[in-house]
Amino acid sequence: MTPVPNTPGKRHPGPPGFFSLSLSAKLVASFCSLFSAVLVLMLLAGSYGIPLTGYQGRISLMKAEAFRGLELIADLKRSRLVNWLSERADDARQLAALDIVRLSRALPGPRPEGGPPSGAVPNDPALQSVLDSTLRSKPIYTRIRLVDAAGRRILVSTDPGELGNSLAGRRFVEGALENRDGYLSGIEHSPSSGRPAFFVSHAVIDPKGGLIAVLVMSIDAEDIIRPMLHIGDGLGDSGEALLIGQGGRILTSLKYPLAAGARATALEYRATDQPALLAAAGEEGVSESVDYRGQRVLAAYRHVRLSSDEGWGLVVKRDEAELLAATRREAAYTLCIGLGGLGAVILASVLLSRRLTRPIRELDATARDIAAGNANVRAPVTAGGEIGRLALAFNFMLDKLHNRRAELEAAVAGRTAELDLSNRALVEKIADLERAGEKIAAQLAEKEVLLKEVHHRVKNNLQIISSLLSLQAVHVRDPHDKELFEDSVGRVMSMAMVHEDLYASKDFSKVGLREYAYRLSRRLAANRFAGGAVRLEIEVQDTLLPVHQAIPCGLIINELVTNAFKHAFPGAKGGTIGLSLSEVEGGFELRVADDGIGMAEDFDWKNAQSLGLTLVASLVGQLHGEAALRGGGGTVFTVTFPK
Amino acid sequence: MTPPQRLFSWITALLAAGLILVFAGRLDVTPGFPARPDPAPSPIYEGYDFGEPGGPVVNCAVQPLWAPTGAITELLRRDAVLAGAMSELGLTLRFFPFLKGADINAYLFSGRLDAMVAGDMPALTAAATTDVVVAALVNQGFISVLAKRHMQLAALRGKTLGCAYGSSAHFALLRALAGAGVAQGEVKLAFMDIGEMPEALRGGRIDAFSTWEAGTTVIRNANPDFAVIHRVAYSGYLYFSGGFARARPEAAKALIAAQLRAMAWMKDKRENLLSASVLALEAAKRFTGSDLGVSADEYAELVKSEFLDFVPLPIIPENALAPNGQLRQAFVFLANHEILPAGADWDKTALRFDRALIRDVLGNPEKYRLGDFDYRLASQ
Repeated sequence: MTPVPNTPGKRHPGPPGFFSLSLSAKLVASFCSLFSAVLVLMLLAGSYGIPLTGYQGRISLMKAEAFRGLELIADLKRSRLVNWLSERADDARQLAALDIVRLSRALPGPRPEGGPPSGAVPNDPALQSVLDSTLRSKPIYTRIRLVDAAGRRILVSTDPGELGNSLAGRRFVEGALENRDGYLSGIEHSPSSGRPAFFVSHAVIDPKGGLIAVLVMSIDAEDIIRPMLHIGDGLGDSGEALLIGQGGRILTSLKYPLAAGARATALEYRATDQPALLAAAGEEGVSESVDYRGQRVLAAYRHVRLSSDEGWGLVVKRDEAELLAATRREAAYTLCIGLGGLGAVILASVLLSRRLTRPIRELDATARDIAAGNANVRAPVTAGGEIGRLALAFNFMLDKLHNRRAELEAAVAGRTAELDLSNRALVEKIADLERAGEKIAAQLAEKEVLLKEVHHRVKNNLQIISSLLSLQAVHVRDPHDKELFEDSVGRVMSMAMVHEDLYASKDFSKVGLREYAYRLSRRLAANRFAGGAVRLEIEVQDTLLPVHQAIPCGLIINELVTNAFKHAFPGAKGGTIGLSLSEVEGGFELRVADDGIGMAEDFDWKNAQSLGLTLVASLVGQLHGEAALRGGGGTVFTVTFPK
Repeated sequence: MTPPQRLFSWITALLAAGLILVFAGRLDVTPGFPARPDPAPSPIYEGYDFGEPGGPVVNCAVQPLWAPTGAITELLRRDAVLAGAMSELGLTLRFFPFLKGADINAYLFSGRLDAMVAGDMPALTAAATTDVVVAALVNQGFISVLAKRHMQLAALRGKTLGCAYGSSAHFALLRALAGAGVAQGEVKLAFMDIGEMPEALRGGRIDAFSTWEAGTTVIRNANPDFAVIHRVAYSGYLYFSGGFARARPEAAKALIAAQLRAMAWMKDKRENLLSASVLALEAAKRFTGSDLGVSADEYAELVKSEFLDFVPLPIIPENALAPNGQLRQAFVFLANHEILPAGADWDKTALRFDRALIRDVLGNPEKYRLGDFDYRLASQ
């Protein structure tokens, strides 16, 4: 693993987002996240019907209990209604079976159904008395009447005002006739009062089995049946039982106004809520729905069967709001307490996290101060435990670092003093050397001046010697001797020219041979053979030769070129003398050639009596070189010598 | 991992575990059931000999397990007046017990049955499918939906529900669910016979089931912890094959008259009702090989509450065929749910509910001997 360099004052980049927050912020965020997660989990579970919270469980339990209570009351109400209906059916059956009814002269004998209505209705006081006494003994009935089976007209009634009225087409008449038995028709508008009334009817059959009449007994629905639906306090203030007919028509008035504020009228208003319609259609169960007021209710619904083609829907309901009011208040209170508690917990967590993280923050501030260069700060030890021990250890570490730093600084100071001393000595030595250098340079300059002066004086002296020899030669009559003098002058001048070049040059030890060769050759050609037809061709590399080689080399050139001028072209014959000097491997090659008369093939120049050639041989030896002569057509003299 | 990272990991794990728990409760772990039951007839019926069609035998299909028709059909089997009337017509009655109306229809469609009793859904299916004459009511009862605990029907959304395919309980269950706002596609139907349902519910293979009487009482006697969460009114009918009713109308009327006699005899005295109930329970035991699990008193109460108390005469109510009537609405519902064959026509179906036969019988009580009761109670 590569260690991370711990550079003071430089922060290491960490993960972005949450993990870049301060420790206290992380603690608060973590706590709030955990709390929120638990809340979300509970809400999610609640939405799926899993009662993780007591509230959801209580709501479910309360609803289940409420449904059981509603079902119990609905079953009791239905049972009561069924029994009551059975009693009414028995009333009609018993009355219709009485001989005083079946044999009454007020009723027609058997005749074809649908025949013409009877004419005058014969009176039967005994039958009338039975009906009246029955009405008095059973005051729930509002009217009792006997209807002609054929003509559907009222033959006998406890209400004399309706005698003769036709009840054709009324279900309580037709049903009884079709069944030849009892018939419970449900609730219809009374043909006499127009009020909602319940009709129980029964066929009257004569002893021969003939269908002669229908007994119809009516009961005021609002006065008798509606009170049977009264629930009392069992279902709270909002509890209500409804009776619904086929098609959803309400059979009794409602406890509350409709949603729009109007009062619903029995047999006219049609319920649209699900329990009412289902119950009327023959279903039984429980449901949560919205009732005629638009209120959410819990309802149990039952079907009360009256006959094969008639049934009532019975709905027992209670407002959900009333049922759950106490629980919801409690839940709201709990929620307020919970929210307050949550706020308090958040506040406490903020304060607590700040309190808990204060020593760490102080430690962090101390570390930042130290990183900024303030090494004298120390972390305050305000807490015990791990953080207190950490602060103590941190301070201990700082103290040790401080001491180590002081020791280091002392060592550095001592070493620095030693270095200062050494430095000063070195500076003095350098100054001495500079002074010595300056002195050497001055001495060198002085030496150069002296050397230059020496070369100048030597040149002057040589020129004086040359002048002296030239003056002396004027007085020599013998041409041979005169020539000897002139040769000597040439030799001296060739040496003087070397010294002249030396003091004129910057380097007093070397002579530029190219310039020297040109000057020397031109002087020889001008002084000794001016106006001749001999042409001098010079090809000399620009080479510097040291003095000890330049002087012999110059004397050799002087001797060989002079010899060429003197002996190669006798009788003013024209020609060419070539002079060349070039660098060859490891040295130089000097070549003097002419196209003159040349020398004999067997001429031994090294043993010749000529001073010039003797001198040449001597000078070649001085240069540690070699010389070669080729005669014949012209002469070529080649001298090679090392560098 | 730093402490805050570990804390976050724990929170994430807690949330994930919670979500798994929440959704696990919604997972449907119910094993699959066939979308349709095996169309092959039950092996129970393999030994039935229906004879040659058109022969001097009237094949009657009955349902011994169905109260109250078990009592009525057992009295028909023992009605000497009916036997005499058939004999005068040169006919012999034979009774074949079946488990449910859908099975009866299968044999009706193959022309092997002449008279039968079944619930409203099989009767409607038969009337919409083939030539039949639906002549009389034999039941006005309730189909019950049972579950392991009290609940609203809406809570069955997403659950697996058991029912007998093609039965009135099948239709009633769908109708009840529709009334509660639960579409057919929101539940999984598991088709099975009534005898399998209690074990399936207890074993968790289904979440609720629908059944008719006496099944409801039998199952609740054996499983008192089961709750009836919903009831749906339904009706049952006596119907004839069209060929039989037209070819032998007097035989059909004799059967209707026998039903009227049976009803009147049971209404006349409590002991008659109990006798008929005992006969019905014995017939059920002969059919299934075991006691039905209800007492004669309980069965008698079922006969009353499911029929006799509300039906003085078994005339099919005219308003049941009206536009908003029970049968018309049932027809529309079945057609909409594609349970009826495609192209089923209501007008044609309604014409097959015939009130004329029973009116004719009621109009001639002496001819059809409605007041003569002669039951050979010990002879069968």
